Amino acid sequence: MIQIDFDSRATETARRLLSEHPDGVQQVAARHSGGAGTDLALILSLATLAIPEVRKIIVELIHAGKYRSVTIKGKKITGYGAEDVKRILAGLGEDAET
Amino acid sequence: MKDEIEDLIASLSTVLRAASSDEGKSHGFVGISDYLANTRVLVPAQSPSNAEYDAYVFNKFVANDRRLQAAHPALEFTSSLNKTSCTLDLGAGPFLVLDLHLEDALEDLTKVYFCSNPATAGLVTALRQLAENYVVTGDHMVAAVLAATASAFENEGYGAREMDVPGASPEVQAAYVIAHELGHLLWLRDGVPPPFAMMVDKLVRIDAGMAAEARMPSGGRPAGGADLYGPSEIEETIRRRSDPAGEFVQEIWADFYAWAATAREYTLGGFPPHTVFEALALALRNLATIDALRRIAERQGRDSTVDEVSARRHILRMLLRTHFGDLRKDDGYIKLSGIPPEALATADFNEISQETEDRYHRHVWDPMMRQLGGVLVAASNQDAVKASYEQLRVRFGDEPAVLILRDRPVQVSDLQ
Repeated sequence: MIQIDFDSRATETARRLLSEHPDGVQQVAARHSGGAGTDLALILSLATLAIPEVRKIIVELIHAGKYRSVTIKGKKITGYGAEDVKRILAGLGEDAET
Repeated sequence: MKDEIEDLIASLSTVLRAASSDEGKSHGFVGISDYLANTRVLVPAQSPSNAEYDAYVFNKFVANDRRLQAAHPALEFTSSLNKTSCTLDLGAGPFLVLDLHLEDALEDLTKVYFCSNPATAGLVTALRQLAENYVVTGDHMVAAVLAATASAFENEGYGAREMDVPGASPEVQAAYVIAHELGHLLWLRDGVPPPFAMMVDKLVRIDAGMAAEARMPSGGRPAGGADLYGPSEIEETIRRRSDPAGEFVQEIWADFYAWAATAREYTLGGFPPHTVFEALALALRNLATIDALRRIAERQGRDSTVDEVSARRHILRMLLRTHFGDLRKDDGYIKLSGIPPEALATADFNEISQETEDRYHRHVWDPMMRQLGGVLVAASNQDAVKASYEQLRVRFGDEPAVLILRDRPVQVSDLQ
């Protein structure tokens, strides 16, 4: 599974994913001790990520930088640089060039 | 007969698991344990027995507040390099997740606050926490180099880890974190009480006015850079902080609830008022330091909300003063707490908070950040970091930071 904290520009996309894939997409609401919280965070199962249509949406979203953070295998990636995008896509098993 | 008893115990265990475990709190595909394992870097807790004390305090707080009993919060422990306790909802009700490693971090910073060589101990503590944060963000090269530096200094006796911490401060700070998260639960259930929101609005305006006056040079804009304290920026800050549904008011509410609940519990429990008030002020500062170090690793730069944390502390102090007045002159409080008036005479929470803040700034924050600046400049030299990392990788394997932080195998003589 991965967790994506969406930024406000991707709210509609996130809500659509949640309603269309209720078995593999789950919402998380959190307030952290440091004061930060999630606006709209989703966890996605690996099986759901394997659905081409879902995968396409997520990859586009990553390329567009419409996230606050992406957590894969416990690692929380918060940057938007080429290296960060490459790491996120590698974590999804995706080629950075696609 | 023995078999029947064992069967009964087994079925009772099943019922209890269903009622209290993650399965009972999630209707999605992920339970709480899987969620934490997949979204954090888990490590063994330094002091696993803290969980027992935390559970005791949690139950006490819940027992003291009927609203919390109705909210049915479930308690889940973890220990992770993320150092984050939180209120978490996976879709079927709230969990209070307590990170035992956050308590380790609070304790280390508290030791720095009380120790006699804070400059070095503070730097080493910051290096360790930063290295952990870089593990979390997946920057394993920087993480390994910072971990090696922290390890070398700790092996020379410069860290805070082996020091003693005086008094009951860590326990009170841990309780503050628990109560703060419970405050969030109440907020999620009930929203903000309107009189509280109005009071915060008033104090936000006073604080913003004072900040603008203090930082704006007379007769003009600050030299260079963006004008964070111009009339429209101040108005925007006030609007954001006063929004009754906004994050700022929610945080102030959780701080206020936590402060009041913890102060009550511990002063009634016979802890010296000075210790309690100092620990509460320390909890706020330590949490802010832990968050600042996290932001460095997460590369969250300076933005318009950069002074939110200090504004929160300032407004909280004004709020406590307004709400409780001077506890030393409050007959009701003196009677309720049972604290001898002569003990309370030297324990004004407002004064103690201010003194603690001042000492923290001089003793911990300023020296730590000054020295850390130099380290971070060195860490931005990618070639040097890569070369050091390669040496560490050869000795300890791929992504060696976690091992180095745990076993501290690096000595000063190993550093170039």
